[in-house]
Amino acid sequence: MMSMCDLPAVTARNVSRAFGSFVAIENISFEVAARRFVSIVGPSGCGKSTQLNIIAGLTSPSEGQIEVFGEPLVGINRRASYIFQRDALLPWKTVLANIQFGLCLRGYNQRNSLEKAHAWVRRIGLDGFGNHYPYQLSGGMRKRVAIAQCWIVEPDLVLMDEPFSALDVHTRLRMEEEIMNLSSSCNATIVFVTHDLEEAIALSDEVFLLSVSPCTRLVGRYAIDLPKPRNLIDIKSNLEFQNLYQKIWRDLRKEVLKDDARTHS
Amino acid sequence: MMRGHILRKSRILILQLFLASAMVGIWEYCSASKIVDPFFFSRPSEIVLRVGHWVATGFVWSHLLTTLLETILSFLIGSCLGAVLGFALGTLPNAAALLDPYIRVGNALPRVVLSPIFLLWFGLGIWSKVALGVTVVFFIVFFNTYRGVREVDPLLIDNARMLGASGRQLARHVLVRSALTWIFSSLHISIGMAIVAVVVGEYLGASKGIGYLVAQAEGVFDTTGMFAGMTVLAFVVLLIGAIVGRVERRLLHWKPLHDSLAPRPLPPGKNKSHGPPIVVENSFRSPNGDQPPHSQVRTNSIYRNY
Repeated sequence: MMSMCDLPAVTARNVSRAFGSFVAIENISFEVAARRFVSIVGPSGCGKSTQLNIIAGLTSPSEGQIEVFGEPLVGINRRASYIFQRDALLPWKTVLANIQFGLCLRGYNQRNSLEKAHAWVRRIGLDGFGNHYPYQLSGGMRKRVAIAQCWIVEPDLVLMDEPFSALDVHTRLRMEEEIMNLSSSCNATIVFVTHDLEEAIALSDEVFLLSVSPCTRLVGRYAIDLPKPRNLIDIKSNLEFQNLYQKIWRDLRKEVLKDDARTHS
Repeated sequence: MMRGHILRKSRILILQLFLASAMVGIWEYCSASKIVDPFFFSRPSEIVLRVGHWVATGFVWSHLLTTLLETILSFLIGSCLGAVLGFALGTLPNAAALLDPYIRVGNALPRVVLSPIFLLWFGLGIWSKVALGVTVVFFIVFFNTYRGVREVDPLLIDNARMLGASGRQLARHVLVRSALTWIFSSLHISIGMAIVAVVVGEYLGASKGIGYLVAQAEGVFDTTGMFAGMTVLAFVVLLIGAIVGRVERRLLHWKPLHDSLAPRPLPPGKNKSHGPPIVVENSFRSPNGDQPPHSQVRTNSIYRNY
């Protein structure tokens, strides 16, 4: 008998999504094994975010079905947390209250959840900022609060939509390291959308490549067998990393060029 | 940097005081030397004496209290009605579409024309002025609440839902808070407009109040009395403005300051923020809270899936 953990975290079965006559995603099927870190890459505007929103249950597929740990997804995906590209912190709540928000919605008692939130404030290195409001924080700090907000509810599945694209290079590297540490220290499955192929390879166990839009399909899946834990700087000079990069980039390039050809004709 | 800032502020204050005394001085000189007719323009010195007399004899207090009471009552009643209806229509798009033309007609109607009918219905006492004030405050608060609910960032809603918010929790933690932001930042306008409506109401028919004083003075061609009434009113409005500003700052302390003169104080957390996602209100916008609800009835992701 298969145990709970052996079920794939996400299964997409022939998922399509159309917005009016525009077909964003056409007939995509895949599986994300539990506790894996999977990145979705593809040319810009190819429907990566749509795919992620479908997994989150924020967008429903026009056709096909999503299964989460073996159960068909109806409505919001209760097993998942979502880290958005833009800031999604509640501006009128302090850092602590924002981190606590998910627990508070789940009816945890105040003392318990405050204690947990304090622990997370320390964990993300924002000691002394607990009573600050989001506008008083830098972009990187806000992102860390968002990460804590999502992780405190101990989700089985974490969805991330280009979470670091608005950050500067240094902050971004630190965030990537934090995500690496978090994902290796817990059992969450991670689906990470990015347009940055280096980031995708460095962080993931597997990379999914989507084709150009419209009618986006899944054109490739690449296993990343680099050993973990990884050093995000050193790994980029690793030969195997570079081979993988070359290989995926060749396929990604084709899609990007198709996109160019379409827009220029 | 801080010292330079204070210096700049005090220099501006000195210039402002200088400007005021220059204007008053010119007025005084022109009236005294009959360049303008004191019968029509009065004299600042006489106005000051009159106000002093009013205050010293205690004559003005009961009128002032009446005006303030009317203002506060119309503000409270109007805000409650506006907030409740605004929230209801903000969350019920169909009801909003149904009531849209009526609300627009109601808002387009110049409120002054309601004054005679309110006088008939509620008499010369405070309630006819309160009613007039309510019709003004109601629409301001209504439109702000409505917009607060409709224009909340869909991302905040998605995030709250992903974190497990039910429909009711979403309303409480996100929609109401967003609406309150808009209501709080329209406090200045709604209280200011309440005073205007109340004073106009008093002017048109009353037995007490600052507007009544001005009307009385007008009846006997007492320009000094009229200007004295205006002076008292101006000071009261300034005072209320300062108080409301403080209250607003307290209620919206999670928002960055946007003062045209003051550079933004650096938050203890160093670094620049990318600015708040919240729409910053312009205090010079039209008093009736912008657009009719009609233009905002659009499908928003708030409503999908539930």
